[in-house]
Amino acid sequence: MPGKPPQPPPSEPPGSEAGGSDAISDGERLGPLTIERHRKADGRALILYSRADATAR
Amino acid sequence: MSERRVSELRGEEVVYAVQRQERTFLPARDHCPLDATRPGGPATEIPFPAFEIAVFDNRFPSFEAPDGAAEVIVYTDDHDASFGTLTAARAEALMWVWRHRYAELGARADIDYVFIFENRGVEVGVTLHHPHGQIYGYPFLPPIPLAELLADERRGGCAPCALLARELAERERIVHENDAAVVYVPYAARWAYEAHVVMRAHRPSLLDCEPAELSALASALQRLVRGYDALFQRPFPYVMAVHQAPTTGLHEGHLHVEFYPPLRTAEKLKYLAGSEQGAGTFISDTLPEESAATLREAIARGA
Repeated sequence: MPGKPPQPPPSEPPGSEAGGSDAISDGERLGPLTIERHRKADGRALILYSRADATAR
Repeated sequence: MSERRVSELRGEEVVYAVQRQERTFLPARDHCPLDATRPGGPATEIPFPAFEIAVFDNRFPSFEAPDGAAEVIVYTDDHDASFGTLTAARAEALMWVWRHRYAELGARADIDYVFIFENRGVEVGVTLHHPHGQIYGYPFLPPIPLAELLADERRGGCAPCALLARELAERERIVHENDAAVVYVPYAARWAYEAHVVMRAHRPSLLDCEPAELSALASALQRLVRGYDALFQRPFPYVMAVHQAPTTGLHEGHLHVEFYPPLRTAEKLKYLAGSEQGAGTFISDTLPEESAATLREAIARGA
């Protein structure tokens, strides 16, 4: 797990984040879902879950 | 990094997460950090132009490895949605995500209790309106889950199972039910419109549920939340708390979801004042049976 995330630059507006991420896994299955794991630019974990049949949006 | 101290007088842990003082507070609509990152728009927590459900480490954590976890779970990229307005398929998917996070966080040696919750509305201190919940991985067993385990001991068996049996026998506080879940205002509710969504079968955690039960749980939760919104014809604030087994290896508990709404009328809030804060005893202005009748009608209207 990542350590404490770095503080944003002082000029960054509230709530904004450094963009971008690295994919670290793709296509795990969980019941009806697929899982994509990413690492955000500041090192924090990000997981995206999608319906495998893509009908849940 | 947070600091934990034990209050000797209360016999409870207090967590000092001073980094949270700087967390994002009710940002402008076009700077929501939980939106997708749209082309040409500001960067957000989710650097993709669209997503279904996203989970990420909280930027302002109350707990973090190696002493717990704090995650944010975003239900949708639709900023103006709510748990109640999600499609049935999305709500069901959310149950699978909860289950996945319970399994992964609960497997960590530093986490004793996985707590999934949602704060909805400024009345309960929400700082971002985008539909989302949170997950805390506590490095200890918090007092309320502990109290529930102690209730099991006191009663000599699963307390939620016994309380559910009582509600099913008396029926006057039940507001909704389906094949797998029962929704009722508890006999000793603290809040005017408090409601518990309880699995019919003894299921210690989401991991013990069949897929059909996850679907039914999602349905029951949505019916309740839509009923809440119909109650006073306004978005209804609440704290939603998912209670399930600790992850210490002690697989005891009974999966249920508790809702604590602070409204006692359309305009009046229940405040935690002298008796509640100073003596620990809730004083309620309403009877659970009367609230249940009102809520039952609202759920029918909100369907």
